[in-house]
Amino acid sequence: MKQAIKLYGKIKSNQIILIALLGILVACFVGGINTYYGRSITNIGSDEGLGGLLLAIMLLASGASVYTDQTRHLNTWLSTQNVSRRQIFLSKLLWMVIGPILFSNIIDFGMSLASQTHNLSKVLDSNLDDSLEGLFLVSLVVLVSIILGPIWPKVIGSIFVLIVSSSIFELGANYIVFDATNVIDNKLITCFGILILLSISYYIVGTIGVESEHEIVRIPVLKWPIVVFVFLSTFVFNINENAFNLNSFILPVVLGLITFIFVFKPKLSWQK
Amino acid sequence: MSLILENISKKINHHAILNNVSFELNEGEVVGLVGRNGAGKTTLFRMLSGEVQPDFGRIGLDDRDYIKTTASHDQMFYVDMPDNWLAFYTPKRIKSILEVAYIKFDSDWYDEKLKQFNLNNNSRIQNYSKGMKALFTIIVSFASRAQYVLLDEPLDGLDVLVRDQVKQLIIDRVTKNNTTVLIASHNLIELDMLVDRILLLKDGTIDRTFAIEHNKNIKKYQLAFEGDAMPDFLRNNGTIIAQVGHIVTIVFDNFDEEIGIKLAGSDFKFIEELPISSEDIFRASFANEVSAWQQVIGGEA
Repeated sequence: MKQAIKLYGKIKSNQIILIALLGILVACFVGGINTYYGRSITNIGSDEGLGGLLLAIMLLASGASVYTDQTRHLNTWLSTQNVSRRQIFLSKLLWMVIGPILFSNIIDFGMSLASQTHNLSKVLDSNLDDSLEGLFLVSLVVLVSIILGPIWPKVIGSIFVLIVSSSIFELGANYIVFDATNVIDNKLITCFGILILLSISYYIVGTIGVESEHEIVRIPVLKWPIVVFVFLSTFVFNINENAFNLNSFILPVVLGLITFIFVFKPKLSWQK
Repeated sequence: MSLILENISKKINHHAILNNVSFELNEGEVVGLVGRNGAGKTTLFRMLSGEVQPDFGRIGLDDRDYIKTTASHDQMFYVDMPDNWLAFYTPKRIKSILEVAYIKFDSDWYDEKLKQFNLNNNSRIQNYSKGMKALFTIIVSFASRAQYVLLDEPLDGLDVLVRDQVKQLIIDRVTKNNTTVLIASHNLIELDMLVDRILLLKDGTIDRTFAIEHNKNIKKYQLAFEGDAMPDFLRNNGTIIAQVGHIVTIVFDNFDEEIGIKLAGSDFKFIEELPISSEDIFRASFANEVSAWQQVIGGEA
């Protein structure tokens, strides 16, 4: 594992430094604007502070950097090295997800300290919420990115899952009996969700090889479940946003059909 | 130490690329891998390096399973140069990365060779010419000090002078470090000068393993026939490499006494045996396909 962390860290060191610099730049920019305009953009040291913004920007930059691993065939080369695929997965998670989350928290906390805010515990609490939420969304994106092969389905699939996830979890929450007002319960459930999603991803990366990277769906048994998922999640999203009527079926059917075509690539011919 | 492939098979998109491939690579050997375009040479390299897993069969490093024993993966070096992450880095950065990846990475030798071949240490590999990229791949492969080095078309794009230096460099590394090298190439003339033996990949499997001096049943002749038509037995038993008027250069894949007697007959004005090369053996191995083309070309003419 140590070798995997060292090797991936070494290869990505320049990009990791750039992501950290981006975080610092954003923090400086927001800090400067706040000072100039009197906290009009993002409140440093408040419970709805800079942490979430920083986290989102740094994770987006990390995501873009990880996607280049595939276009540059780095994943392929790493699979020939004296580290396992699962070790590489954990190293990526450490450098490109946990690292930026910790760093954004440190910056936010540091700036909160510098601005001598009185609600440090609230800042910490808000950062913990943002981090867990961010990690949960990243875990979803990671799972989607592992199951789907080429870059463009990964990106579109990730955006789709992020959009529909809120509706799905809202629906799920209505069926699961727990006290939604209990903050600790919420955090625990989020942690549990993160653990499950990452465990599934960890299991899958050990079973599929880089040769399936050109396949839209890298695991053949998941082809139909993905089509069904797109249909159902769009349907749930639709009825959550608007009242149920016949039109609620149009978008799910269209998206389901598009997904079916891309996943199964049916050969269409008009000639008899 | 030996790298052993046993009954390796691989299908890609339901199409069999490799079928029961078996061979062994021994320490300090330089082995050539030849086959027609799309024969599966690159797939075989990818499988050997661990990029792609076989559907069936075993790749063993002595008695260990090479694919499962990731700790031994620094014993092998392979980069698929046209599609590679190295292109986005400078040699200087690549050195610092490979020092982590390969514990025995020979930094001094690497620097020395970059200097010797005038490769810019601060320019990204993607800015190199095709020949410089090929040269860099060879340098970085041997600097890794991996026991097994896989080279895919290593001499492609190199000018004659650099090619000679590279061949010398390969021989030097094999002699000094006892490295085992597997070279896939279409340039059979160059291979003849480098390799101990050649593996011929045909129909997804190793059809033949040969060293030039061991192929007594393959013979090459130049001959001139009497009369207007070429004797039929030539086409039926050999692969015609060249024909100018009545003069024919032909390779017999399975030369036997019967062919020898026919050649000594009155149908021919003269016959002369020529030295055989890997290219001739390659042609002879694909005699049926060559014959089919010749018939098509003959028909069109």
